[in-house]
Amino acid sequence: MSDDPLLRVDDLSVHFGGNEGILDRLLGDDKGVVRAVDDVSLDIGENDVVALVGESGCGKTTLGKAMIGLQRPTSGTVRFRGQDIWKSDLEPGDIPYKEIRKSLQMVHQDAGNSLDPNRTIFKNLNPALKKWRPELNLVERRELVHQMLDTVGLTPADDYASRYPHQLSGGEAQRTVIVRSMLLEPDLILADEAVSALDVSLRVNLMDLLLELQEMFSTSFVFISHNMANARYLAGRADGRIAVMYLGRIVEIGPADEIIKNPQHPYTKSLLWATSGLSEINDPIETPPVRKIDIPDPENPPSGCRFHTRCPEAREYCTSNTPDLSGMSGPSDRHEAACFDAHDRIDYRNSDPIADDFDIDVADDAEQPAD
Amino acid sequence: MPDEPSAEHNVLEITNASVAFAMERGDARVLDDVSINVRRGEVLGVVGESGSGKSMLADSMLDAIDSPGTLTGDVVFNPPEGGEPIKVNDLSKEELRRFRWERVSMVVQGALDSFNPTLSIGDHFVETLRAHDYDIQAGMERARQLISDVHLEPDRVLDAYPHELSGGMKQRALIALSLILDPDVLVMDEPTAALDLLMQQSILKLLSELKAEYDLTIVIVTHDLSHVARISDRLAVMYAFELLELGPVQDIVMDPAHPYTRELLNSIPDIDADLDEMASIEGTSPDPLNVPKGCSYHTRCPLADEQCRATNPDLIEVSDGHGAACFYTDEARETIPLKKEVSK
Repeated sequence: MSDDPLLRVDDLSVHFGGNEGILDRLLGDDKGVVRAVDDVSLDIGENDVVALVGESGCGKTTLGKAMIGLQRPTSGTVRFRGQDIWKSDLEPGDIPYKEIRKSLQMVHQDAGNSLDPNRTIFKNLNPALKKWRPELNLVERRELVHQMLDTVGLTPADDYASRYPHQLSGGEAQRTVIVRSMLLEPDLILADEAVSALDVSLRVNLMDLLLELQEMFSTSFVFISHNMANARYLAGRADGRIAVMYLGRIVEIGPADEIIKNPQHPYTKSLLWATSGLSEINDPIETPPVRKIDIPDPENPPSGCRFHTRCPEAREYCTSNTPDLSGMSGPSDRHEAACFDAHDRIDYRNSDPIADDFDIDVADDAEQPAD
Repeated sequence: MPDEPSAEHNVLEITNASVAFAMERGDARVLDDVSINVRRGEVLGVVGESGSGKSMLADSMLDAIDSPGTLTGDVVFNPPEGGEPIKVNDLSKEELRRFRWERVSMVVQGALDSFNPTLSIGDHFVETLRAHDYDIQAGMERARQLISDVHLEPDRVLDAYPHELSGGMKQRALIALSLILDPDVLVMDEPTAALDLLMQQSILKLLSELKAEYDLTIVIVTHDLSHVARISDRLAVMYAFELLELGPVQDIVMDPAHPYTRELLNSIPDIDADLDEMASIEGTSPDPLNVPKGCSYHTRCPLADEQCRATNPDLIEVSDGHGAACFYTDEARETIPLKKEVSK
């Protein structure tokens, strides 16, 4: 059991909608099903940092929520220290569900809205402590809250503790929400776009704070972001990994530096294209390295490799065969990509390139995604 | 700053523009004495954090300040075909209605909600053409062309309702709509903020193509300097409702003179920069009701002294076409190294 990682995700799928009737199920009619997460496997170690990156609708939040037990998977398992978190008949020696729930915490996307506007900051933070640390009395709880507010730079702490959420700036609200999740001393925190709503000048500061807390409390972090630069900062500083998702699947995963400097999947490359650094200001913007700029309908994802409709490297082979994540022969054995081209597969080489011109095409899919 | 005021080159001339809102707690100045010229054919990037007054500057260009806000100062539009300059903030309601869309067109923030959900995309084009007495048939021909220009399919998109389009498609359709009456200037307030990076960058690429094809002047307002740097010719940096620095994009990014711009550049999580060189700016932006006396940045500036606390510096020229509102531009360059310089 001691060999088990903190969290192990195996062949996890989360599907939404579709026909739930028994007849449809018997007939195997799964029209309208959105495969938000499809067959994802991922290990999170102790003290690990993973940044999940992808465009909106790629399933990164759903995967994150399924990982911490907020979303029941359609199939596949999530194991916390070796134990299925959805296991219903607990045996002696198993980790109680309450314990798992407490160990896996989340920082939501919109910090301001995840605080109760009618309660002071202390009263927002108090209930969780009262429930999970019953041995503490009010004075001790207050002290602990003040201590944590101090740690995240909300000083003077007693002033902040007595404020109401509307009296906090965006950055302060974000810090408060982080404190709330840290108070339970969880093993894993899922931070969903924790910095994207902040002003640029404050982002690095908040990411540094997250990293400091991560080190201080030896917490693992799963950080969800659509922004490669932020993901690289967090995962890079913590020696963590970046996982790139596309339409419900992880298409590439590896150490932050490898993903940024040596991307293998064409989709990762296109995300990096979109994150041009300041050193390129003198160059005109190039044509996007995708054949179509719109994401296909998630209800009706492309066959084979899901990226083949936009991929500049796609060949006939990609339209009917699905690549699996497998290790790259490179400097790091932790770097994996799901692409036939990256692995130089012979069947792929021998098939014809898809006859499409390389410029961005007119978005002509019969069904387009609606938000 | 002497930003040579020749009608030849400047399509918009904004002089001493201020916007104030009367509030219970006092008068809130949300744009403070900003003078800036928009040159014909350029892409001007207006950069600032939330609450820096950048949207107010954009709104001033069309005199579109929401009541009870009041705009003072001068906003002058020079028609490209020559003729009398138009003083925008003196126009009557009817004149202003014509001026907008036909002269200066705007893509507002939160553009994804700008479409009427009960009208098809095509209806929006027809409605706009009709309101301005344009020939509908010829106008719709142009609409189809514009829609293909933004990489959408006219047949499908014109008949579609807003909810049937994804965010990126809606945004592109809105850009096409904003160009339907062939404006000279396109003002865009955070045109890509709610979109994915891949879509954002693709839209910037489209904009640079549209600009060349339709002979446009573009003003882009955004919080994300690194994002607009590549498409912009000049950048204007705003802080606390004032213009702190203005200049060619190379100067602003490679050799900025204002301490705020230098610290802002160092705080951007840049994909190419050394991880250890990034640092946030201490402190927070001021409240519009309580902007510090003197230089508004002095509360956060490492160089601030008595003079900065007492007197608000004007925008002065530091090199050709590059101005900064700071008494200590040379010192700023010495004491605040850019992460770029360090990493190179």
